[in-house]
Amino acid sequence: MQPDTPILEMRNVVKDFTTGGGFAKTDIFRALNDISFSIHKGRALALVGESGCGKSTCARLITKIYEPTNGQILFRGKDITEIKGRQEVLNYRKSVQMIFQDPFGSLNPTHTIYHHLARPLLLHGMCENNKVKLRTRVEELLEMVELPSLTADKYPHELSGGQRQRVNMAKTLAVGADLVLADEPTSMLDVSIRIGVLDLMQRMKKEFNLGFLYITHDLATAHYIAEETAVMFKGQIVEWGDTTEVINNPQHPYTKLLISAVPDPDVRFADVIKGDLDYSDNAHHIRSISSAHSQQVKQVNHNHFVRQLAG
Amino acid sequence: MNKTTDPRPLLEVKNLEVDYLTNDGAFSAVKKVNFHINEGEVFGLAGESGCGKSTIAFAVTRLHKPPALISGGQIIFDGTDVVKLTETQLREFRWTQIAMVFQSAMNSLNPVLRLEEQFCDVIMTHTDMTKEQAIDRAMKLMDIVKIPRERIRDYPHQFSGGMRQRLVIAICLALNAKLIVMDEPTTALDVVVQREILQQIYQLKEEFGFSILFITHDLSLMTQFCDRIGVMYQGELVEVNASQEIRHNPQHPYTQKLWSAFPSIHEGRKHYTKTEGFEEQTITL
Repeated sequence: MQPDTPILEMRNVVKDFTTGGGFAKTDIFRALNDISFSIHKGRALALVGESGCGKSTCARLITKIYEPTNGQILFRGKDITEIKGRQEVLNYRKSVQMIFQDPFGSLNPTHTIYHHLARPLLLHGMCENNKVKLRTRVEELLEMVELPSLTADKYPHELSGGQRQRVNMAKTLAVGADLVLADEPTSMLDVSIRIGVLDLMQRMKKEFNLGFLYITHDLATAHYIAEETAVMFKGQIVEWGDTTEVINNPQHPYTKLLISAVPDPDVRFADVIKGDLDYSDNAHHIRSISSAHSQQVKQVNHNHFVRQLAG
Repeated sequence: MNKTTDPRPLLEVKNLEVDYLTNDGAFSAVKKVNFHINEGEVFGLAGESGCGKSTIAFAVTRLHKPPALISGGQIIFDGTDVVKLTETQLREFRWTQIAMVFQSAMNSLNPVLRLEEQFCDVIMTHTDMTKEQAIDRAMKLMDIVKIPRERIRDYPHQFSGGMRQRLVIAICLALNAKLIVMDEPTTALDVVVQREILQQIYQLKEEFGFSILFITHDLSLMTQFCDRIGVMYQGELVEVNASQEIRHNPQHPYTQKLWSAFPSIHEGRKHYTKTEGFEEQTITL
């Protein structure tokens, strides 16, 4: 199953945040509770959960914005807290790239697309500082993400959300990243544009052997892009394994709740409601029983694990 | 709907044209659109961003602002042409006849006013109720959307996104409007909260019998929720039909394309068989 050592591995990672302070009393909020997962080359792992469950915190820990309170994050087997010094950090940042949710906020409106792609090339020494060579490389990159070479001279406001997200992907290709952390990259795009962007990610994964951490609250896109899925709730991974297993044979009540909430066009809403009159109360109940920490895990299939409810 | 009488159109949009005036001349965002909504019906407008669906929502309530301009057509609501109403008549008309929930409606509450005042503002402007009566009405509305009454003295930021959305819906119900326009009411929320809110809207609709103009780009959700759907493409209404027809028998190539744009996760679930011969086991981490 496991092709090689993972590009990135989270081992029992815990992250606490302190809230309050000053004149108020301080409190500890555990954002991540014993998180373990690994990401392999040419594969995608989807981290699925509702807002506030800690999925973006995972990405922030991986990019070294925060330090873990406990546990280890290994990049190609090396603990990332030991990555220090300018050159080492620069190299790490080059290998681990992010794509953000808001394609409108992640490009500088005062610069052309050429600037956005040429700058990382120069910063990371991926190309000689030669106008002709830079230009050729930028056009190559644009071609890789299926954008016309004319795009180079445009400004971000001249592009659609989908095109901007493609520019962001070209950026990750420019620096030759190994791991892409994609935090809700399609949730601000139209349904009709999403598939194109996802297909591109799929291609990047295969052709450039990139590893993806795909963070989303949308099971439908996770199902499309990721081989493996981990469902997160309140800082815990409650169910994980092969995406098809998790979606088709969900075991944890929270996973079931998430799946039941995804609209199925073949069932009329009136019928959905009839079967489930107390949906809100059920949802509330499931949330409360799922939030306690538990050490018991059931292995349901070769690669399908479910955390058992505590108590 | 399963009413015995012939449905009477509550809203009729006839040859509606909306233009945006730009430096390069007029850009027609809505081109000769025709549709109607019956009493108690949920009508959906689907399409990608920029297709003109929100422009229609704004035009129906005459809330569009320059450079948008209604350049032709009629919007007949319950016998009156909305396009011809004066500003004073419009003030009377909005909220009492048509109420609106906008995309990111949770941000349409005033952050510096307690909820109480926001409810009273709407209720007292449009009725003769005293402050006490208005508060009483507000509390009943909060019961309907299942938010504890005592929270009426809270500020909007003290509520979660889903709760704020429910509060906006409660305000919409305040004056028994006959039509509620909902423009992407759940787009910013996660799926479980989306489902909770839609369920509540649906049950309220069954109870109070209002009509809904529902706008979203999520065709799966729309097919589930709406009775009839209109599909918009580049300012034109390319197909209008019952939602099940749109699902199973889409006529226009654009509608077909919209469907193929996204695989549903439920497809695979229906044909799933578990691999045989794996013994389940419990592990302690």
